[in-house]
Amino acid sequence: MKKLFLILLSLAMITTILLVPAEEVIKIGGIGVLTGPNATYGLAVKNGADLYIEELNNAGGIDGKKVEVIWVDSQGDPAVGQQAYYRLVENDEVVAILGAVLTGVTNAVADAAVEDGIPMVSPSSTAYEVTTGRPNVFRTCFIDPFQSVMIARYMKSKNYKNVAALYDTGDDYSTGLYETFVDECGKLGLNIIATEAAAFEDVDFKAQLTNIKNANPEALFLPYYGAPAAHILKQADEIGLNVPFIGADGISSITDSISDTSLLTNVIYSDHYNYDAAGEVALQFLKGYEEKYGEPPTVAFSATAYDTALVLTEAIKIAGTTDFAAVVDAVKNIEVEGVTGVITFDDHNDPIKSAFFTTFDADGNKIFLERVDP
Amino acid sequence: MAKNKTKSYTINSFALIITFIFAYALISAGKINNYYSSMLISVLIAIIMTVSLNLTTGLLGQLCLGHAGFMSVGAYTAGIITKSLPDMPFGLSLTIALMAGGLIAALFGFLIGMPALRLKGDYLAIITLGFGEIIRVVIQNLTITGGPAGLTRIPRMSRALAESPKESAAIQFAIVYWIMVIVVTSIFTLGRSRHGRAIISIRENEVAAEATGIPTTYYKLLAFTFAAFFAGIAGGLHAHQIGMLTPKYFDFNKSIEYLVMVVLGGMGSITGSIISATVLVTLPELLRDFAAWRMVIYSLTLVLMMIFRPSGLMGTKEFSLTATVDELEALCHRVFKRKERKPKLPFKPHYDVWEDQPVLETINLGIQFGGLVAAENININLKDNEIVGLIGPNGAGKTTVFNLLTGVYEPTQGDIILLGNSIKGRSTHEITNNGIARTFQNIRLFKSMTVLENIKVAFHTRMRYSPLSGIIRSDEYASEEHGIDIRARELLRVFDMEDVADDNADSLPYGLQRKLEICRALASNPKVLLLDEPAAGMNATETQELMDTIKRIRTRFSVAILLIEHDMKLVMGICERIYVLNYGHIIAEGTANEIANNQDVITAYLGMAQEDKEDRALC
Repeated sequence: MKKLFLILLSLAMITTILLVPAEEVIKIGGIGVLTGPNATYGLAVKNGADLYIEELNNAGGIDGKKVEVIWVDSQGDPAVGQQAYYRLVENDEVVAILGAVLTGVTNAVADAAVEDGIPMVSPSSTAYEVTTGRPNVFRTCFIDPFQSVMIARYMKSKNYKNVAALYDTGDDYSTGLYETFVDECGKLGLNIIATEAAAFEDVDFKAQLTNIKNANPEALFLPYYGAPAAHILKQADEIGLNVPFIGADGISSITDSISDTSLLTNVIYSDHYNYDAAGEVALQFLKGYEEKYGEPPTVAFSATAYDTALVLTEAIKIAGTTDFAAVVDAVKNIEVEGVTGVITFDDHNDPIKSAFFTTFDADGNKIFLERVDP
Repeated sequence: MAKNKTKSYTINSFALIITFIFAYALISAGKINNYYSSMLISVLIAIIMTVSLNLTTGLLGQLCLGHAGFMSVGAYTAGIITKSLPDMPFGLSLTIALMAGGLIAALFGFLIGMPALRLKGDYLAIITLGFGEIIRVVIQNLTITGGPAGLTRIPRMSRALAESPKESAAIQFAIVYWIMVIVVTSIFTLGRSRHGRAIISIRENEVAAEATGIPTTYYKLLAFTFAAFFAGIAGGLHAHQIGMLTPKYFDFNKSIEYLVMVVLGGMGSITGSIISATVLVTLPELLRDFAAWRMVIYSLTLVLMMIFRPSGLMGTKEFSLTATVDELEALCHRVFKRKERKPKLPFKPHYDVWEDQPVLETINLGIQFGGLVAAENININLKDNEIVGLIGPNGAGKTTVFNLLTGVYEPTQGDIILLGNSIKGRSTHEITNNGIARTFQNIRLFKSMTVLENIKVAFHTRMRYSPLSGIIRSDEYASEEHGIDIRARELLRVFDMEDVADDNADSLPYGLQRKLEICRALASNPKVLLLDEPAAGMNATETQELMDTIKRIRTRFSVAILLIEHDMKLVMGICERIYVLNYGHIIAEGTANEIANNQDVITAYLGMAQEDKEDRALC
């Protein structure tokens, strides 16, 4: 044990020496799932945030100081994420946290971040509870209950009477959306005539889809991420289930997973922003993203991450210091225009935003349908 | 005890305390920051998980693919308890939570173990795999566990234990460190007690363990339950380290991760487990700077290890520090008690004198396998101190008779009377404890145990101390262990095997392995000894020596001996009576001379009449 300890200690020293910065920079810690099945989201976040920081540094940084985001991979594992957090705060001495991406990891990181009081903004953790009772934890994406409410209202506005739902019992994102959706449908008088559940990582949904088809709904609520949703669409097509598939922001990554893009014309989802509906900043972001990465962003989290980087650096600029409490205070009172609209925070540290309903054309390009305001 | 040994012990045992004080001071002074202290906590928890899994996988030899399942049970139980007791001082609610987590996990281990441990090898692995998944899915669908979103806002040890964060982190380290020390020490001492020997003997050879008098089902359950208990405690610690739990965390991969640690460290080596848990937890973290390559380096390390050290870092061996525990206990006794322990010699089972009646008698014994009648109307009896042969052509059913007598098969007809009582339907280990011991046609030794340990396993049921006494090394443990050490060496001396006492059983020459098996059978102090082809594979000199040995043990240990043998020189030379078995029936009984001239016997062996040579090898 003692030997091990000495080894650990010497490694710690070496790491510290290696990481001593050459010039004064403002360091922000980025935590995201950069490997594994959910890496799409983590990499989207990384790309979006890096883009903003690059633009900021080209424009002179914050009061002449460069900003650097140090990225660590959470692997989608809460324990690894928390360990990574400590590394960022203790060894890299970052002044703010950008992340985490997945709700589970964000919860674990936030638990530690609350104790340190460090400003933390997640671009993508949509579960309601994440910011509850955590005064220094914010997010730039909208929350799950909000999306479900908006989706139910959207369905109501289309005069649907009987709808169905298929959700994943093993995924907190999916069950969270589903539960609020049921509540809101009840309030709006929308009938859910078929509810089917699948287990986490299922790939065969034919039994559930057949039951749904037999119930003959007007639309199917599909709170899924892109990869499983691609399976569902393909199998629905095979059994001839042809209704609008209405999902939330998670489904936006479906273009990465589906081979037959003509199936996407049935998909409608609530997104964080849409270029057709957005302002100057969004168009600038789109242009910058394509220049830097050679392709347009697929997942909206690139945009929310861009906004997150914007919020954090603006707050540091406003506070004029990197003192945790001062920056947290600046974030709380911020009002900036980002890609996804003007960002201000409510009492629960959530942004006040609109939902942008979006669909696809047969080539998989996003088509803006309408904007629903809260 | 030699002075330098005492000295080495002192250094070793205080290493634990010094390491602790050193680390504790650095953490509470903030010299070790949260990053390293939380990594350290993860390492300690992984050590508990790995060492406890090593109990089932390494020592018991049963592949368990659901260890993370037990961890999750403990984690959720503990997390729910501390969350629901917010008003209680955290130290107290944490203690309750950890104990409850361990106990509930142990309960699950027990419930899963009961049906699962009747199965072996791959089947058990699949059941434990299924269990892990069931637990995960159940947790995922319960409201009390927070469903798929997980259980959040569990009080974290790194802050909830004291006012100052540094102090709290230091106390967290203290708690996890000492729990780790207790768990590792308990598993280590348990492994060195009679209970540990019983568990290891099951890994080595389950059939032989049962025949040596070990209640194998009981010990499998014991090991399984203990391992689950410790995994539950580790889970509780994990819950209060991270502050949140998600069902996905405890999936199949997590179980595999711990299994990899056990295999890498060496199955059965506790220190190996400690080293590999430490390395495998810190390695990915230390390799972070290599970003994308770190998982490749990590995996490559595993692959290379398995190629160049297939038995793991330590094999089944232990690091020298392990002598600590033995010596710690010895010193405690010297310092605090200063009294000499008297060895408690294993008691001799009491057998009444059976002069005229047979010690073992079968009445119309028989067994059918489906439609096949393997043995029928077997009536044999053994008087005290008699040497009786059981012969017959290949496939006559001789070993079947042995298996009936020892409870491996349950007879479908007839009865077996041992010392006046029926033993029909008893399990093998009960029959062994009632006075029948056996050897096997193909030698079944506990191969990787030493000669002495092989013998000690057979003394198992003549010892009394409990698993707890074994773990805490009570006086009872010490005097009984001392006693059987004396007895086991005495027994080896009778067989002239004292000088190989500390050799591994599988390193012995063939003849000695046979002898050791007989010796082990005698250690359970039987009234009847069954020898299944003791001379198989022996040369003439060895056979002659064996004959002398058999005669000698008959008088010295006062046993009746029933032996199956094809070597007619041996059978005719030492058997007072001989039974001849053919097609599952006794076709003749009598003295050597009578049998050699019996027409039925000759026909049975040769299928024709007229051969008059007496000592011809009939097989």
